[in-house]
Amino acid sequence: MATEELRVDCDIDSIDALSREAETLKARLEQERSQLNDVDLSEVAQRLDPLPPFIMKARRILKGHQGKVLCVGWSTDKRHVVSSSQDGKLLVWDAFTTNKEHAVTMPTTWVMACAYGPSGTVVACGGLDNKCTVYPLSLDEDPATKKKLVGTHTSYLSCCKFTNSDQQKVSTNSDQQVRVCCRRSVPTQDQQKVSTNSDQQVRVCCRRSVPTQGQQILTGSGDSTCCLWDVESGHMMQCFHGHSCDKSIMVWDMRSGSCVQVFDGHESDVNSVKFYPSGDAIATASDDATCRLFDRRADREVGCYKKESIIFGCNAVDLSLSGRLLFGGYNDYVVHIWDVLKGNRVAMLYSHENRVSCLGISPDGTPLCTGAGTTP
Amino acid sequence: MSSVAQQKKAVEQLRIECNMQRKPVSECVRDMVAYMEEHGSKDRLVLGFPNRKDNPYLEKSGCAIL
Repeated sequence: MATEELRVDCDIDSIDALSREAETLKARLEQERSQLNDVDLSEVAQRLDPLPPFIMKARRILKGHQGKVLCVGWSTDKRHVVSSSQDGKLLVWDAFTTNKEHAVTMPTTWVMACAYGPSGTVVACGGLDNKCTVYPLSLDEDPATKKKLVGTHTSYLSCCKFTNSDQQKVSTNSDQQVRVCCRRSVPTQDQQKVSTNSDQQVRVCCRRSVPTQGQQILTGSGDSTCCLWDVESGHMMQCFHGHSCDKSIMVWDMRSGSCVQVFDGHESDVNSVKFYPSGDAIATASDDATCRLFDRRADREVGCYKKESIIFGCNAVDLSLSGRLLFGGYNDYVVHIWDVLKGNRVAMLYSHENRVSCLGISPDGTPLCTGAGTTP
Repeated sequence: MSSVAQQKKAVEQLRIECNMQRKPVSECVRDMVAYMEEHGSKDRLVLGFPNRKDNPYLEKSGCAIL
């Protein structure tokens, strides 16, 4: 009995000591970060020329889904688009002609994630079935007959991405990192189904890939983990634990599976994350009606894009080719476009009649594809 | 996992984060601006198309030679 009490005491002591150390470290971190905050992004931007007037029109409307479009992805050929919807369908579009080239009916509704493979011949998707499935695209056969199960999570699949070996050429430094971000699904009407399953989901996006012999897929799930899978064998190669539903953004090393950086700042759940094209910064979108920019080298937030008139959460974010423009898809049915440097809004796109749930810019940087309501 | 182990892990993580190399914001912003200037000429969403015909998504005009 006496020894047990002693052990408990000892535990409490070490917990106290550890929390004290954690507090000290946090304070040090905060201090170091603020010391390096020597200039404001908008101050630098004042010296720059303003952007030319922004002109953008809705060129194509891809109609066909019976429910809310949950995810869109561009092919590397800059022409094809894959989209997935609440109605359980996965559609592959030719964006030029607006024809549907393939349609796959999934064994589940709420297909929350889809992605085009870098080769342009496969698509991956998943949703409430907790699985990540790959479908090869060929004109002769029904893709559903050739489907391949790659990975299974213990909760729904919230996002999937191929690790893209082409991007290695773009990246200048050799560290390979995955950016992952946590999100608690809000109990809105649309997502009630989701939140009963689990209240956590992880968003993944891969910036730099490991030298891929075979292909690999990254998935994020409602079980608040993120996994790297091998497409050929279906083996899990790396699992990233650590999200705890805390409004933070975590950067992971894909080789070791460890977290290398954590960014805080958002006041509500983070819905979407994208790497800045150079790989040194991360753009995020959150339910607190802001988009933010975090610099990885300065290890802090450098930009916050908000306006008093914007009170609705932002679901999706993407950056233009040079990273000058930031596109946010909001719950007020509008896509707001921000000047990343000056921090002001340059334009608004009104073409949707429902919440903008996803958006993506084509690899060549020209067309923007948005998904919402029933029309992507 | 016990709470001690959890706390230990959290402290480890904070130590890693404390030990990382940081750069001043001014330097990072300068690099960001340089990246934008370097790639800005290719960014059609910023500049638009120099010639309307370059836009592959533009509707073709009504007449066509058959």
